[in-house]
Amino acid sequence: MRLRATAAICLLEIALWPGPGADLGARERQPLQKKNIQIGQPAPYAPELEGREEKGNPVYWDPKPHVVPLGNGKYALKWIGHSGRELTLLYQRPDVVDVIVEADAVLGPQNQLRYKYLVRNLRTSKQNLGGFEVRTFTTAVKPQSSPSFYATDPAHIRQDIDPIRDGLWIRFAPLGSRTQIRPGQSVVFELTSPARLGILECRVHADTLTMMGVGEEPPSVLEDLYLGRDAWPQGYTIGPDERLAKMSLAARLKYLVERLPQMLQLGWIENQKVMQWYGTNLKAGKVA
Amino acid sequence: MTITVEYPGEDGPAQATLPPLALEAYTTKDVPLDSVLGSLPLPLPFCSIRIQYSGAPGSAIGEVSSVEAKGDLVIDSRLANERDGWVGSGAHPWHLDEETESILFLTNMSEKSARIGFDMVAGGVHYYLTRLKLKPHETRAIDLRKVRDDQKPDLKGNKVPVGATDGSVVWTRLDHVPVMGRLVVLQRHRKMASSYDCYICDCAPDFFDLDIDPAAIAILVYESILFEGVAWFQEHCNQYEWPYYVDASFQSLSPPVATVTTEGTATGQSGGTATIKAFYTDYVYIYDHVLIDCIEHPRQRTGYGTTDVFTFTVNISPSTIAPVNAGTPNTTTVTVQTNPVTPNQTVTLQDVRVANTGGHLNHPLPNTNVSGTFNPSSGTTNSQGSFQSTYTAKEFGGEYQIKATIQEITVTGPITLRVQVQGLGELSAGGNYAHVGQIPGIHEQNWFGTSSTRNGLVATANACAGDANCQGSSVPYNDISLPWGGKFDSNTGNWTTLHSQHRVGRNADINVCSPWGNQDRRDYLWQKLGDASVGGASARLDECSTHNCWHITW
Repeated sequence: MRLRATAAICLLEIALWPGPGADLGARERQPLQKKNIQIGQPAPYAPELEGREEKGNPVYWDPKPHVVPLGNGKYALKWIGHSGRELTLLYQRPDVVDVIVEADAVLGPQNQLRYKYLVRNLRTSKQNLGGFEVRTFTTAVKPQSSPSFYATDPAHIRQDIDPIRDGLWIRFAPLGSRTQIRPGQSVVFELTSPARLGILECRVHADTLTMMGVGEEPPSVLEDLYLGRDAWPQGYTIGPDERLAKMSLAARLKYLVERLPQMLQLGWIENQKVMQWYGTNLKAGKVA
Repeated sequence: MTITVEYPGEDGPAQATLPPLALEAYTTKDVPLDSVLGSLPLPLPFCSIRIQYSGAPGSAIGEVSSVEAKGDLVIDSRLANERDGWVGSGAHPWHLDEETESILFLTNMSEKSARIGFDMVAGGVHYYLTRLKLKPHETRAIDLRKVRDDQKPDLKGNKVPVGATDGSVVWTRLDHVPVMGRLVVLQRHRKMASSYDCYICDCAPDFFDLDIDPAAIAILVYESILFEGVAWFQEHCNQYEWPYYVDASFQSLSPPVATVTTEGTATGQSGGTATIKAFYTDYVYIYDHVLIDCIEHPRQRTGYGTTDVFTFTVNISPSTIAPVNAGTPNTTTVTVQTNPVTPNQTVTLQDVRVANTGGHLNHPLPNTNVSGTFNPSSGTTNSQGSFQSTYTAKEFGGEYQIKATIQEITVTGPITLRVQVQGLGELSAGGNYAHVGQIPGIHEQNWFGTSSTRNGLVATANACAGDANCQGSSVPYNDISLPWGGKFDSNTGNWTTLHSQHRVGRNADINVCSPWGNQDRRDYLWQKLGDASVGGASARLDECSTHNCWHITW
């Protein structure tokens, strides 16, 4: 059986009539959403007393950190180094890619679901794709790695992560300079899991996050400007979610109904009318 | 007749006597002093002439003429009998300008010490010298310019007005001994010298009152202060009153609060107010017209003073602050509180870094950088007896003692200020990563970080070891942060360093340069560092550009 992300109701293991007028493939998916978090000027940095002149006058180091936008998501992080020279560190925003994620899940042997994620780095992107991450809620997940792509090994994760409570982000990323996913190119990542299929978050980031040193570390207020994962383009896709197995039927229906507007927004449901049809039937318990 | 020259010697007043000479009745003799001058330790600033004669009192008169050796200035001074009824006090006008000096000469003509009352008046201000005492036969020259220009406050806090040019100087002997005084006003531009030696009263002034100096003062518990007696003398022939420091005896009327020695050293014992009592005996004089002399009558007088004894405390709030440029808050409020409430106490604050704290061991921290700043660093206690200041930390982690000083007593706050980035923990040892970068005896603990940083580093190394593409030698973890965070120098005492971060536990250096591994291995390691489920790092700076010494940020 082949399941499409737009038919996520299959996770209920029910046969649900799609209703009149439904054309599941007719609506274009939406690119992952960006928060467009602005990078402004850094917080003030207190000048630091470094010593005294022979006459006893204090000598301060005032790095005067500031930011100069360079366009296309690049910034010059500038400060006065201890040498007295102005230093510049080039920083690349992680959200300068426009990405659409499409996913399929196929039930395979031993009830293993095989997920395929087609990640399209759109031509409008300003940078190569640096990585794709999908949030799962299971300990039984096996990402497919390759010599060209890195994939998270669920057997070696941080101690402070509880995969069921917090979710386990599975990362896929091209390795080094051997593999590049340029604007206009796509890539497929795969994982398998026996866990039921849920509607889960995913996110991507642009390549080139390594900054090259300039002889001194930047003042901390400039490091504070680095954008975290919350600034990455993000959206929803399908993925393994063990939590669903513990839900009652009513809870699963509620889970679906709550996500119908999200599915419409993401382009998984064609229009309002179809969404209402699903909502009416799900609420009525017409699941068999 | 014997002529004696009395002059200031190295060990006190000294004398040189001319051979005796005879002065016949109704004759005048001019006696040059050249011969005796040759035996004196010249140059001398001044000397006095004493003539003893065998005739009846008043049967001889004399005059001394002083001639300037290199000029033609002559000062004539008349001679007076010892015990002359008017000798003993004087009042003279003085003048000071660029060409004029005023010098008061006082000669004790007795065999006993002579206390002197001295009052230099200018512009309505009375300036007293209250410890002036002449040894037997001592002549003292008091340069009034020096008295004016020294600007030393007297017991009342008065000073001769700066630049005063005219006034009067009044003096008296406070003991019943003969003292001769003369004010010489030298006006070189006019080649004139005026000599004043008028006298005022017959008997020495009467001792009529006793004060304690200071009359009231606040001292700290265990602090000591010296009280002194100030005797007041009053002239017979006018209303002049003379203060003079005397050796009074002291007693505390409140020993639990403050004790005092007989000599006047009081020591605070506990909070409160203590009354200090002083006793002193001196004389009043009654002139006996039969004996033609002043007769002494001893009188004891009593004086009282008070001392407020207090303690003070030093407190800080909050007691933990962040190093500057490593989080907030960077300031704490320092409160100095006196108990009982004692306003107007001058408070000075200082901080003292506790050695070997914050991760800097035996560290030559630059002195100028160690101390934080107080705003203000000194001031006075307010009407509630307290003083507050804001302390701002420097960029270093470590312990600081906050100290306050009042009246040379220093108290250290009971709570040591911690300048510390909170929430840092040490990265435990692990089999898949190596601890590098410690500087023995200087920075032995360079592996402190936030829990996120530590978990990320452990997971990254373990994941690397479990991945055939990444495994190999241990991952070399270098500096993260010092135990309490703050500025972290890369080498001993090098503060102008490229290694200026690693202050809050979210930076780690990883030395993955060759021969740790090839580019493939580094690529896998970096992906694991940046993996939200493994390393969780947010950014990577390749500090050396070419050597793969990573500066990772969480």
